[in-house]
Amino acid sequence: MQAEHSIAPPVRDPAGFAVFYQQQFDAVLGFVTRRTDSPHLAADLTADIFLAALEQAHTYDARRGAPVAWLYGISRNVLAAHFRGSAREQRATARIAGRRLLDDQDVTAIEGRIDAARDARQLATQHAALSEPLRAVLDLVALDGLTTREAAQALGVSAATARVRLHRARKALQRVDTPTTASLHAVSEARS
Amino acid sequence: MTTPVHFQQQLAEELTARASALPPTATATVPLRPRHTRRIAVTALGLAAAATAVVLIPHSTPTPAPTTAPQAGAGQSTARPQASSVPVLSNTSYTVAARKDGTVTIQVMGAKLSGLQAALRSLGVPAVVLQLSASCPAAVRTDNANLETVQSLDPQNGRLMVIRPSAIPRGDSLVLVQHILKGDLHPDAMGSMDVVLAHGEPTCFPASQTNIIGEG
Repeated sequence: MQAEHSIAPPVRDPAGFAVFYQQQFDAVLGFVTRRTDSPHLAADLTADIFLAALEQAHTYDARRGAPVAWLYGISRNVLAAHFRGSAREQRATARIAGRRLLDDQDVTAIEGRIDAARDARQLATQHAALSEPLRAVLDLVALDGLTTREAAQALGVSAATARVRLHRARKALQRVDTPTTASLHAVSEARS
Repeated sequence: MTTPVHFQQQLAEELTARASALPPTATATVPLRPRHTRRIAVTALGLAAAATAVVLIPHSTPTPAPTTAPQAGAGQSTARPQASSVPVLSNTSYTVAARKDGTVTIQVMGAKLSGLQAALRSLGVPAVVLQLSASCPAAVRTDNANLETVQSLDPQNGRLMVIRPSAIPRGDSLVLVQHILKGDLHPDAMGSMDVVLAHGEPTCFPASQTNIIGEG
């Protein structure tokens, strides 16, 4: 996901949201495929994220950051809810079953993305040793390519806090036995 | 990069259908939460910000009436003569006065605003006085294009809000939204008010429609 997207803001009217969706589709699917190796689950989560974005579009405040940061915040929440194992069941009647919309070529295409994102998922696995606040910033910067400021916006923290957490994450990873070179490289080049 | 084109298109259609089915009241909520209300900021010394009316609202117990109904009843308000012979309605928490130029002034000194609505209406201001409500089900339809004309600060007294009733569009009401703080815990805390122009006469004002952060 390119952080510097100059994109349409999320809105709830069908035409406006369609523009937002088309601009952000690759970003959201990339976010998901960097975190799951199942094309069907990736489709479900992509649908859930956009549905949540539609339902929460009125909460977007341009003064608090770019749409991409807002969308990443929603994406994180949707994934976290999914992995808690509760949200999808609770919203079973309201959600869109993304996997139902897949054809064979779609599955192949998403599998291609999943394969391409293998390194990113390995990085995420290595980040698991970090505490959640540190890992959250590191993942958004190192895996997803957000700037530190955008990661801060997605997480609802100040840019200074995000910078501190990023620094602490880098230090923590340097202390582990198997340094995650790629992550450290990404962190060191993270824009702020 | 490979793109699941069919999936992308199908999901777009599903989302468009969902967007079309969203209730209109939801879409009417302020997308960017612009500051369309006038905050009557509160400072202990009555220092006025340049663009907003400023009054004192010290919090005390008991707090005013419940949140979901306009604060009616002018029983606590009493008219008293003035040298200028203009109507003045006041109690310990507020003073409302009509000026010869047709404007009405409000000064709020306390948190007990019962009767303020009736006092303002008696002077020709279609006012609704409310407290923030956490359970108000719908957003208030604001009409703040003329708010700058309707409400201003007295340049000589930053704690005095000046209302121009003739500038209020027909069918609109001037809504004063009182923010009730935790008076028992912070007896000296100062509250604040939002001032908005609204279509019709709202019966409640949702807390989600304000930009209040913390206590003033």
